[in-house]
Amino acid sequence: MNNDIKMGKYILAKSIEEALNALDKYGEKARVMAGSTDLLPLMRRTGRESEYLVDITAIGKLSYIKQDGEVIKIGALATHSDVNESPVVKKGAFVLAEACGMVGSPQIRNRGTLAGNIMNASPAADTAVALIALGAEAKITSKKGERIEKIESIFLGPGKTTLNSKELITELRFRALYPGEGSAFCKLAKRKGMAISIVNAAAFLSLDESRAVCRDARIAVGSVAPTPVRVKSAEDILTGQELGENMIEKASLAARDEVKPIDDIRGGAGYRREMTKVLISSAIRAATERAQRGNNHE
Amino acid sequence: MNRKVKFCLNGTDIEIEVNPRASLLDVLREKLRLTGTKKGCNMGDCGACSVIVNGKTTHACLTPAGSVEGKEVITVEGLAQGDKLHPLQEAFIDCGAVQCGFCTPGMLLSAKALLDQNPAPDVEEVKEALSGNLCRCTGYKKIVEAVMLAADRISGRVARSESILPASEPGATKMVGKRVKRVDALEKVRGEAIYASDLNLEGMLHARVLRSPLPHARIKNIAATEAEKLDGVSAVLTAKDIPGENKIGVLGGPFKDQPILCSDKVRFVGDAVAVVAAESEEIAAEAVELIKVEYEELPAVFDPVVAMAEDSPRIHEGSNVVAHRKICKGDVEEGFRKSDVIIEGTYKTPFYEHAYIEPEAGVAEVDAKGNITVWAGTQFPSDVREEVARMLALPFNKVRAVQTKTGGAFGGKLDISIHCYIALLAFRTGRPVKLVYSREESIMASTKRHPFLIKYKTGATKEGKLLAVEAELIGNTGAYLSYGPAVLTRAAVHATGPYNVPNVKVDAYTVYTNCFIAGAFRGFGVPQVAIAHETQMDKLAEKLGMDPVELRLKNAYAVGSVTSTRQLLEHSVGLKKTLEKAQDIAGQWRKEVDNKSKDAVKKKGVGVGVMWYGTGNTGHPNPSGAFVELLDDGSALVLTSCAEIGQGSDTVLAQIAAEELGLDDIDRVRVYSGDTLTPYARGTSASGQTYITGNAVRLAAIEAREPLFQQIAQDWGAVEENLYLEAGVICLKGSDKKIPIVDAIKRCRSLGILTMGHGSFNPDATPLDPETGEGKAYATYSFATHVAEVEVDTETGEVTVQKFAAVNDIGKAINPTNAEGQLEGGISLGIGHTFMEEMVLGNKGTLQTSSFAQYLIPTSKDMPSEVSTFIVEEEEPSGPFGAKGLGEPASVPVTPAILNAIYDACGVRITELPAISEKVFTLIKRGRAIVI
Repeated sequence: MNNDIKMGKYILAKSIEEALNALDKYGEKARVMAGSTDLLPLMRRTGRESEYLVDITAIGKLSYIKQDGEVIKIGALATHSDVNESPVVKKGAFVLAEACGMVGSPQIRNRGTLAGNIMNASPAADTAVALIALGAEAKITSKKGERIEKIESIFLGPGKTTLNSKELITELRFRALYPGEGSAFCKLAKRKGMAISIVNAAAFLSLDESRAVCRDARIAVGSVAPTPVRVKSAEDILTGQELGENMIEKASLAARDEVKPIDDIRGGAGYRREMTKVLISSAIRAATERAQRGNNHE
Repeated sequence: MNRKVKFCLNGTDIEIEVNPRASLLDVLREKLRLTGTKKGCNMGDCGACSVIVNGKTTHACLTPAGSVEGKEVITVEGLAQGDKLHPLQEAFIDCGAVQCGFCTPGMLLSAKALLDQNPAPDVEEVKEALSGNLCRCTGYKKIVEAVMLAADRISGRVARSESILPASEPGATKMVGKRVKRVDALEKVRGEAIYASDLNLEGMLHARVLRSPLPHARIKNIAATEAEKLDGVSAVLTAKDIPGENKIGVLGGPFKDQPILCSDKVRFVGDAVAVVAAESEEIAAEAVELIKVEYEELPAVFDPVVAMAEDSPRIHEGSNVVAHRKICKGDVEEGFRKSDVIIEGTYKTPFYEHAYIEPEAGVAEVDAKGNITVWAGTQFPSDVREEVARMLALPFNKVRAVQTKTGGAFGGKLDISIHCYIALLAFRTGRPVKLVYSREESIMASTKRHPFLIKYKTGATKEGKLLAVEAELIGNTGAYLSYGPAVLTRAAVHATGPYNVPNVKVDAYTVYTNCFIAGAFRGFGVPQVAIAHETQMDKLAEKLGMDPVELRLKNAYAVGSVTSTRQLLEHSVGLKKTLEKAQDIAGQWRKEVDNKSKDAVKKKGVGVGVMWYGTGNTGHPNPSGAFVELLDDGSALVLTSCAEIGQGSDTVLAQIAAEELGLDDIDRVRVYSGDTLTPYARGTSASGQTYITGNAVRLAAIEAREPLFQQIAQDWGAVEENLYLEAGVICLKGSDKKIPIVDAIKRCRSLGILTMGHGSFNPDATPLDPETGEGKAYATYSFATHVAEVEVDTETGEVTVQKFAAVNDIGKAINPTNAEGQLEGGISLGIGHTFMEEMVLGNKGTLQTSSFAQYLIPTSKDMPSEVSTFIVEEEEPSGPFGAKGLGEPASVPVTPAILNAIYDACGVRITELPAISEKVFTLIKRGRAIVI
C-alpha cells in the first residue's frame, strides 16, 4: 500500500460542527477532504501528507443545489456532476453547468466537488472562471462564525486562497440569470477528453430591453495568471455599448493585452495571450446569443 | 490507526478493519484480494481502477476507504452472476473490444454506470462516459461498439444471439480467416486474468529501486548501513552483490552496455543504483531514502548533435556515436544532377512514452533446488531467462521466466525492467520478492521511442519519377543502447519509403546522450522516416502539380522491384492495391471538403500517408519454436514461449493449429505461451509473431498429425498425400473413405504411436553489407496507405481528425476482427503521437512529463468520428496461410497522413512533432505574415 496516505489520522466528520472542531483543534496540521481528487494526488506527488485528514463527505444535507428566490445556492458537497446535471443551474447559470461538465473525467466529476475545486485554487480551474463571471460568493465557515467572500477575490495564488486552515467553504451562491442575460464558458486544451485548460474563459452579459446594448458584463479568464482573473478592461469596453463583432473584437483585444500569462508545459505565454482573445470572443458571442434568445440554455 | 468500515460490496454487506486513509483500491486489491480492479497510475489519470460507488463511476485510487462507510460499491467481480456474464461483458467479447485487458474492468464499470442511468445512449454519450478510461490498445472503436450493442441487447432491441459483427468472411469455413473470439477474452472481462501485480506469494518481500537524481555523475560512495538497519529490511543490494554479469542489453554481444545496478557512473536521471527488499512497500520506500550516495557530477549532454562532437562529454568509454549504418545504391550525385526537381526537408520527432496502462511488475522466487522463477509482464520471456541467468551466473535451464498477462507493451516491455532486480533480491534473500513500478517510475525508467533528426533530399524528373534519395538520420538512443543500432538500421533500410529509387544514400547514426533510454516502440524507426518520406512525396507532388496518390503510384514498389538494399521483391507486394483504395476514399472525401471550407475559420483537408514494413528482425536470424501435441480426445496443446501482449497471438496461433489439425472449434486447442519451460520464441516485436511463431506452430501441427496420416494411409492402402482433414475427420481424396480424427488417434495409440510435433521457423533474411547495406533485409514486407481528413481551427490552431481510413496489405488475415483491432489501435497511437505526446526533459535532465496528467494520450473523445479499416490480402507464400505482419504497420502511416491533411487544409507544414495547437497556430500566423 502507499505510504503517503497510511500515516496520520482520518476524521470522518458527521456534521459541520465536528469538521470545524477538528479544523480548529489541528489547524495547519489538518486538511479538509471532500472528493479528494486533487488532495490525494497532491499528497502522493509531493510525498507531503497532512497529519489529519478531515473527510466531510459524510455530512448530511451539504450536497444541495437549490434556488432561494433569486439566489442559487450550492452546498459544499455538490459534485461537478451534480452541478452539471442540475436543472436549477442549467436554467439559471448555464455557464457553470457548462464548466462543470468539462472538468476532468466523469470519474473526477462524480467525486470532485465544486467547493473543493475552488479551495484547490488551481489557476486553470474551469469552475472558477464560471463562478467569477456569475459574481458568485463563497460562504466561509469557522468556529468564529461565517464570512462571505467573492470568488474573484478568494484566490491568492496557485493552491492559495484567503481561507485559513480553520475555515471551510460551506456554500457557493450567486444570483440566477434574468431573462435578457446570458452566460457561456469556453476552454482550449491539448486533448478532448480529460482536458486540462491551456486557457479557459467565461462571460456573463446583461442586455437592456432592446436586447442589443450591454448593460453589464463580467468576464473571467483562467490559466493566464497565478489565479483565475476578471478582465475589467474588456467588461468596460462592452458596458453601455451595442454588442456587435466590432465591440467583441475590441473587448477581446483589450483582454489579450491585459493578461500576463507565463510559459509552461501546456502552452507558451504568447499563445495563451492570443487564445485569451479567441476564447473571450467566443464566450461573449455565445453569451450574447443566449441573452438575446431570452433563454440562457444552449 | 485502523477502524471498522461497513459497506456493501457487490451486493454483500461486509465489515472490514482497515486504515481509513488507505485507498479503496488498495483495500480491494491487498486486503480483499479482489485484483480485478487495476492500478494504472494511482493518480486518477487513467481510469483503470474505476468502480461504481452509489451508482456513479469513481476512481478507487482516489477514494479513501473510510469514505465508503455505508455505501454501495460495485467492482468487476460483481458484474457476472456466477457463470452468467453481464451483457456488457458478453458484448466486449463478441465485438473484439478486449486486447491487453488491463483497462477492461474499469471500462466495463464506466459503461455499466452509463447504461444504468441511460439505457439508450448515442455514440457521443458513450464516448463521453468512457473518456476517463484510457486504453492504449484498441483505439476505443470496438469498445464503443460493444457498449452500444450491450445497450441494445439489454433493452431487447437486439436479440442476444444477434451480432453486429459481419459474419465470417465468405468461404472461410475453416479456422483461418474466421472471426474467432479471443481465447483470453473471458478471463479478462471477468477481472480474473492475472497480471504480475496481482500475484501474492507466501512470505513475499517488496522491492524498491534507488535511482539517480543526476543525469551524469561518478558514484564516489554508496552508504547503505542506515537502510540496512531499518526494521523490516531484508536486503540492500548494489552492483557488488551481483554474482554474474552486471550488463544487460536486448541486442546482446557488444551492445550489452547497461548495468543492472550502476557502480561507477550514472548516465541519466533514473539510472538504478541500489535495490531494497523489505517486509512492506512502505518500509522499502523508507529504506531507499536512507541510502546515501555520494556523486561527483559530470557535464551532461542531451542534444544528440552536440553529443556527436569530438569534444562533447563521453557517456560511455568510446565515442558517443555508437553506430553508423550506411545504405548505398547507385550514385546519388548523378541522380540529383539528372533530376529536374529537388526537394529538401528537415524533420524532427520527440521521445515518446509507450504508455501501456499496466506499469511494469513482477515476482521472483527461488525454490529449494536453487531454480529461480520470474513471473512478470514482458514481450520476451526467453530474453528475461537469459539476462537473469547471466546476472546470477546460473545455467539458463535453472531460470524460468513466466510471462503473466501483459497489459500492453508496444516495444516497451522487450527490455529488462523489474526482472533482474527481483531475481537478484530473491536469490540473495531466499524469499519471494515483488516489485511494481509506480506510473512515475515506469515513465522515468522505461525505454522511449528514439527522437530522430532527419535531413532528407529527394530528386525526381518532371514526370515524377524518383531518381535519388539522400537521407541523414540521427537517432538519440539516450543513456543506453537498448535496440538503438537496430532501430537506426531498420529506419535506414526503410528510409526511401516503398518507392523505386535508383540512387540512394542513407547515413544513420545512433548517438548516446544523457536522456532516458530509447528502444523499441511500435515501428522501430520506421514511423520517424515515414514522416520524412511522405512529406517529401507530398511536397514533390505539389511542386510538380501532380496528384499525391498518382505520384506515389508512379513510383510504388511492385513484384519485381528492387529495394535500396538491392533485395528483389518476389511476392506479395500489395502496395498499389492499398494506394488505389485510398485514392477512391481520398477522392470522395475531397469532393465533400472542397465545397465547404474556402473562407471559413475552420478549414478542412485530406491527406494520405504510405508505409512499408519488413516483418521480423533486420538481416538477423530470429527464429521461434513450438510444440504441438494432439491428445487422445482429439484436443490439442500448443506450447511456445511466444508472448501474448494483447495483440492476439494466442488466438491466432490457436487458429493456425486448429486449421492444420482440422479442428473446427477453437476450444479444442489450448495455447500455453510465454513460459520458458516451453520452446524458445523470439520476442513479440517486428510484427513477427503471426509470420514466424505462426509458421513454427503450423509446422509443429503438421508433424503432430503426421503419424495419423501415415497410419491411416497404410490402413486404407492409400497414398498419404491424398489424405486431408476436414471438420475433425480424415478423408481420402476421390473416395468416400472417412475416419474421425479421434478414432484415428485411438488407432495410433493402440499401436503405441504418439501424435506430437515440433516446429521452428526462421525468416529468410541475410546480413546487410556494412558499407552498402546490400542484403535481403527481410523475408517479407507489409504495405499500407492511410487517409486522414482533418479540420483545422485557424483561430486556435486546433486540429480535429474527423475521418480516418486505413488500408493495409497484411497478407492473409488469420482473424479479421483482431486485425481491425490492431489497425484501430494503431490509429489512436498515431493520433496521440501527432498531436499531444512528447516526453519533455527540463533542466539537468529531469522529467517534466512524469505522469499521465502531463504525458497525455488519446481518450475516446480524441478519436475521429469515422474510422474505417480495409484489409488487402496479398498473400505471402512463405507465411502461414499467406499471412505477413500487422502490429506496427497499423500505426506507421497515421502521422504522415494527418500531417499531409493539415497542409491540405491550411497550408502549414509541420516538420517537428508533435503538432500541438500552439505550433499550428504560430505557423498559420507566420504564413499569413509572409503573404501580407
